[in-house]
Amino acid sequence: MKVPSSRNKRYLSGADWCIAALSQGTAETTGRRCVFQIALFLEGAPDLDRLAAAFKTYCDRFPLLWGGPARCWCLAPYWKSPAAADAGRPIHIGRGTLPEGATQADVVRQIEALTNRHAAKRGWRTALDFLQVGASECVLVFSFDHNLFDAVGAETFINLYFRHANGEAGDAEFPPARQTASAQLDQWSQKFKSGQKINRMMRRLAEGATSWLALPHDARQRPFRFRTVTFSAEESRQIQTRAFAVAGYLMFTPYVLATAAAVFRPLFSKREEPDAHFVVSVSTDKPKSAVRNTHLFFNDLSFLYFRFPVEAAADRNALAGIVRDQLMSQAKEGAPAAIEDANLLMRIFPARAYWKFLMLFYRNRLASFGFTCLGESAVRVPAVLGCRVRDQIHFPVIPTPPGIGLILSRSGGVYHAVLSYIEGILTEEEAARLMASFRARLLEEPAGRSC
Amino acid sequence: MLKLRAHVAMLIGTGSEQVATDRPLHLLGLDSMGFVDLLVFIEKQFDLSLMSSGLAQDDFASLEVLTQRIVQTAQT
Repeated sequence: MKVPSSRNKRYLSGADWCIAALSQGTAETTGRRCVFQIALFLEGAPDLDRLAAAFKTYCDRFPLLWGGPARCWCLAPYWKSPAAADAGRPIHIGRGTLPEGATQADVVRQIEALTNRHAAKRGWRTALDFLQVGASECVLVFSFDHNLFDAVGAETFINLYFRHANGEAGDAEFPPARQTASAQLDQWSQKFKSGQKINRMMRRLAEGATSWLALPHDARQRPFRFRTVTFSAEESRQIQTRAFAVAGYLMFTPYVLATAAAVFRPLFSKREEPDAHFVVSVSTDKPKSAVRNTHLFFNDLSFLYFRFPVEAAADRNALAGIVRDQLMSQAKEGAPAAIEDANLLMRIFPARAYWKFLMLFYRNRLASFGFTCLGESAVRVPAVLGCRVRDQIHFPVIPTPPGIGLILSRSGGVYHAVLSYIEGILTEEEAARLMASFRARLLEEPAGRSC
Repeated sequence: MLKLRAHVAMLIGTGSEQVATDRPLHLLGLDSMGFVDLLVFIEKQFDLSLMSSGLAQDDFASLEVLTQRIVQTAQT
C-alpha cells in the first residue's frame, strides 16, 4: 500500500497527537497550554544583543517555528510549515533583571511568571527571555511549545543554538529546514489490536478509585507554580549509589519513582479516599538512536503507567519492586509501542474530542500525578560567548488533570527535581514539605534491596 | 556478543565498535529504560526467561559478563 507522505508537510505521530490532546484539555481547564521552560544558568554577563541577534538568525533557519497543526484529506493531522520564516511575527525575546545576590527561589518566581504568561498565549513555538542577575549571572529561559518540542529535542535545539551563537555550527549540522514523516496510514488491523491491548491495560489500571488532588474550581485564574530541589555533585553521586542499592540493575527511574510515590502518598491520603490506589503516568524518552543527534522537533516519547496499591504505599522498597515488575511487564507486552499505535489511530479525532474521550474513559482522573525522569542533558556546549554554562533546570506545565507532577533532570552529573503544580491543588507549605521530604528520602541510607 | 553490542550501540546512539565490552553497562550510558529494552531484546532474541532467572547487578558488570550469563541460562 502506498503511504501518503509529502515533502511539504510533516505528519504528526501518535505521541504528537496525544500531546496535542493533553495540551488542548489543559487549555480548556486552565486557559494555558502545555509548554515547558529550560533555564540555563550562565556565569557573568554575556552580550545579550549578540545572543538575541543569534537567536533570531538561528530561528529563521526553521520556518516550521511559524507553522501549526492542520488536517490532511486523508484525515491524518500534520504540521503545516510556511516556506520561510514570517518576518511579520518575530520570535519573542524578552529581558528582565534581578539584583545581585538574588536567590534561586527569586529566579524561580520569575520563571513562573514567564511560564504563566507564555502558556496563556497562542501561536508561538519558542521564546527566549534573559534574566540578568547583577553582573555575576545570567539566566537564559527558553520556552517551548510541547506540540513541537519534547524535552530532549529542546535541549538539542539549545545546544545547536549555542554552537551557532559561538560561530561553531557548520551548515552540515543543521537538520533540513523542511521536516517530513510518513502519515502511517497502513497496518490498520495492527493498530486496532494495539488499541484493544491498551484499552485492556488501562481498564486494569483504572480499576477501583484513583487517588487524586481535586483541581481548584477557579483553575483558570490560578497560576502554575514550581518548587525546586537541587542536589550537589556529591549528593547526586550518593543518589545513584542508593538507586543501585535499592533498585539494582534497573537503577534510577524505579528508585526515584518509588521514592516519589512514598512521599506523595500521605498528602493524597489526607485529602481523598484513603483506600484509593495511586496511578502515575510516566513519560520517557525513547531509547536514543543515532538519528537522535539530529532530532530537534516533535515528540519522540513513550508513555508508561504504574499502579500502586494502597497497602504498599509507605514502603519504598516494596514500591520499587512494584515499579520493576510493572516496568518489565509493560516492556514485555510492548506497551510503549502499542500506545504509539493506538495514538496513531486516535489521530482521526480532533484533539478536543480525543481529550473528551480520555476524560470519559478515566472518569476525569487521568492519573494521581505525572512523572518524568530525563537523562543527562543534551546541552554539551561548555560556554556561550565566553560565559560558562553552570547549570540547567526544566520547568514543565503538567497536563491538568492531574495538574501536579515531578520532573527530574540531570546536567553535568547533577540532579534537579522540580515539582510543578497548579496553585490551589497544594498550599505552598505542603509543596515545600513535600519536596523537603522527597530530598531527604532520596538521600536516605536504604534499608534493604527490592530488585 | 555481536548482537548484544549492536543493540546497546543502538540504545546509546553510537557505533558498535565504540561500545566497550569490558565496562559496566551504566557507564556506557544505558539508563533504566535502556536496561529494560535490552532485557526484552535478549529474551526475544535468545528465547530465554532471563528476568525470572534471578538476575543480579553483577551480571551487568560488562557485556562480556552478561554474555556469559546468557550462555549459562540457555544451558540450564
